[in-house]
This record gives sequence, C-alpha cells and structure tokens, in this order.
Amino acid sequence: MSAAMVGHEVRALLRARRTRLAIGIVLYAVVGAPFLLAKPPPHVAAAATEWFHASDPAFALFLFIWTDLALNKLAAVLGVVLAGGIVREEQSRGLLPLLWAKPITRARYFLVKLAAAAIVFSMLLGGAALIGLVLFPWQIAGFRPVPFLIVSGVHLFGALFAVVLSATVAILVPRRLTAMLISLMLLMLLVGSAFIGFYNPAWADYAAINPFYHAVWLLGHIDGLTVAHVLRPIAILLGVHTVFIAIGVAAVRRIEP
Amino acid sequence: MTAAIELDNLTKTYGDLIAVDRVSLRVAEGQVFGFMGHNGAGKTTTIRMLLGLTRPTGGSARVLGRDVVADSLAVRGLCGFLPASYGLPRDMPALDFLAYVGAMFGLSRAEATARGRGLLELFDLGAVAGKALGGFSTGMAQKVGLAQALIGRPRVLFLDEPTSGLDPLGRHHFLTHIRGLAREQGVTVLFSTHILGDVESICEQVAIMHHGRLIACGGLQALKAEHRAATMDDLYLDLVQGAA
Repeated sequence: MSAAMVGHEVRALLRARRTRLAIGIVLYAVVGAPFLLAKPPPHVAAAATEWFHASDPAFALFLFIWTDLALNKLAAVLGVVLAGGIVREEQSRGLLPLLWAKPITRARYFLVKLAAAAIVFSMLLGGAALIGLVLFPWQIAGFRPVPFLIVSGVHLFGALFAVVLSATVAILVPRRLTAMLISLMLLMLLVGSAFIGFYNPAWADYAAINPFYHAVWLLGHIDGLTVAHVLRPIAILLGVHTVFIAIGVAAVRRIEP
Repeated sequence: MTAAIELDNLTKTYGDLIAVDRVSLRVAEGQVFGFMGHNGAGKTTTIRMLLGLTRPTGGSARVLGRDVVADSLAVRGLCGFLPASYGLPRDMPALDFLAYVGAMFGLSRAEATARGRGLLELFDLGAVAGKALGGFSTGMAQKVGLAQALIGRPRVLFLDEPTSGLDPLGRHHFLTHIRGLAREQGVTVLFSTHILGDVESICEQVAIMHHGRLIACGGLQALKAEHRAATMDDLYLDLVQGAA
C-alpha cells in the first residue's frame, strides 16, 4: 500500500467538514463522561458492581461509562461518518474513472481509503483518550491512568470495526445513504448487544464475535490485567476485521466506475 | 511505424445492446489520432476498455504492445486519461490533488509535488496551486484535468471530449498544447470528440464510429478525397448517412 497515498487521504479527510463535526462529537463525549458518572442510572451502577467485581467499583463504573456510554456510541457514529461513503462518494462525483485509470488496483484503492479512515478514526478516539488522561485525574476520584489507557486501547481495536463494517457495507450497497443507514443500524445493534455475555454467561463465547464486547469484558479483569487479557481480544478483533476487509476487497473489484 | 494502440475485433455488449462491435484499428506512435462519432457511438466505451475500466466482451486490444486485460496495470502506468465528464475533489487544493494522482503512479511526495507545480505553472495555474478545486472555473478545472493526465508522463494520452465546455481561447490553447505534446515529446494522443473542427485542426489520421461500428479509418485528407468532401463536416455527414 502506498504510504504517500494514505498520507494524502488522511490530510483530505482531516480537511473535510464532516471530520470537524466528528471532533465536536468527540469533545462532547469527553466532557460529558464525568457528568454521567456524577449521577449514573441506578440499574447501570448496580449492573457494573455485579458484573465486574472490582476492588474499586466506582472506578470500574467510570470505565464502563467511558467505554460503553461514551466511546461505543461515539465509535458507531464516527465509523459511519468517516467510512460510510468510501469509494461511493468518488463514484457519485464522477471521479472514479479518472482515478481508476491510474496504475492502481481497485483493491489497493479501497485499502488506501480504508486505512486513511482508520487512521483518522484512531486519531479521534486516541485524542479523546489523551484528553481524558489529562482531565479525568482532576474529575474522577481514584482515577488510574494505566488501566484507563489499556481499556481505551483495546476498545480502539474493537471500535475500528465500525470503520471496517461501514467501508465494506459502502462497497456492497450502491446507494450511499442506504449503506450508511444499514451500517449505523448494524453497529447500534452490536453496541446494544455487547453485554449479552454478562446477562447470560452461557453466551459469553458467542459474544466474543461482537467487537464491542471486548473492552467491557476487560473490565471484569481490571484488578489483575495480564498481557493475555489484552492480547486475546486483540487477536479475535484482528481476525474479525480481516474477514470483513476481505469481503470489501472482493466486492470492490466488481464495481463499474 | 510502431503501433501505440491496436484493436482487434474489440467488442463490448451490455445484454442485448452492442456498445462496441468488432472494432479493429491501429494508431501509430506519436500521432494525434481523431476518434470521432456522435454521442453513444461507442468512443467512450472503447477508451474505457483500453484503460481497464470495463472488460471487453470479445476481441483484444494492446497499448504499446501490452494486452489491456492481462497487463492492465502496466498499460495504465504508460497512459494518461482525461474523461469526458468528471468531478474533482472540491475540498482539495489543486497541487495536493496532482500530488495525490502522482502518488498513484508511485512517485515520491517530493517528485509528485514538483511535477504538479510544473504542470500548474505550464497551464497558468501556478498562482492558484494552493486553492481548493471547488472554486475553479470550468476552464481551470479542465486544465487541472489535463495536468492530472500528464503527471505520470504518459506515452499514450486518451482525451475524451476534452474541449467541451471550453471557450474559444481556452480551446485554442488546449489544442496547441496537445499538438505540442505529440510533436515535441512523441506522445500518442487518442483524441475522442464530436467537434469536427478540432479534429481538422490537429489530427492527420481519424477513425469514425457509428452505432458501435467503425465506419471509416485512415488519413484525413485521403478520406476527404475518397468521399469528395470539401470539409470535415461534409466527410462526416457522407460517412454517417452512408452507414445509416
């Protein structure tokens, strides 16, 4: 893959109006998380205490609010905003014949666009975590930066699925708006069902295929995090991403510019 | 003379519709070759097949000796293309866009930027190199279109209706530049158009398409003499009415 092309795509995406909107949403999520913690819904507080068995239930509850109520919803929206129009946007502008007449395969073009969206997405979510790292020690009693960064990092791997899925659906569904709505629905469904393994432990293995499950699963081990706890979800998530990227690559070859 | 473009019974069908019907022709290197026909005659489909944008249904084609299907990437690396209608990324500055296209040819960022800047200056757009393309006029956008087609230093240039939408002065400059590319740099130009005056002013060899079929191919003056046509218009009408 051409690093120069990815660089151009990243700069173009950073200049886009929708990315400025995304930055606003990210800031809102970072600023809003401590307010949610100040008065959490009682059923959320009770569930977090019951599920995670943490030595510091308040910190576990904060991480739960951060990953699920803030980052998961944020990821679903950002994924669709950044990658939901991949290739189709250029097609609707009449730019594809011009670009695909160059010495680049369609698969490589798709991968460049996907990589750029993933980089900008990571910058936004990573930026949110870094802002949180500065702000939260002042706002959250008992804030522990290392578990916070680990959980945020694993969450990022899972959240990248929002980009991968949105890009793949954009290739499979010719109408851009329809594709974006389908992606948003699927992502919200996955975000909403991320806790199925907590509600019913017998389903925990099946829940592992849900990319949004893993960061929250990690909260159940927050007092004794090991390398294995981190690598297991990352390995699963890489596998899931690869399958969906392969579907996108296969489908993009069939698009007539 | 070596052939830059060779078509051998090239065919494209969409269901029952025959868009290009067993077209065979040969374009010598370094020529500006007029490729004429009314809208829907099959010119654009032929160019799209040559550039790997759509697969031929039958026949074969070679560009600079390379098969357009089996060796499509190599063919595209040797060619430049300006489509008939296209959009440019509105938010992107002109120079960034050219550097991006240059990266598609494997150029380093520095090389692509240098070439892009040179082309923009050549087309009198140096002063607006950093401006977003969304604010460009039709003529300026067409110059950027030609610049992107040239950034890979192509040996074969496909221009599909390149002068549509240009004012007379812009058209004159554009055609002068195309002629210069062929004469001074030996670039082969396949110039697809239905503006007959443009063909008459820069092409020596022409091919005329009608309903997907090639109805004439050869030297412009020889075709005129053969059909006793005083002007390009007379020749075109005689051929098209004869084929109808």
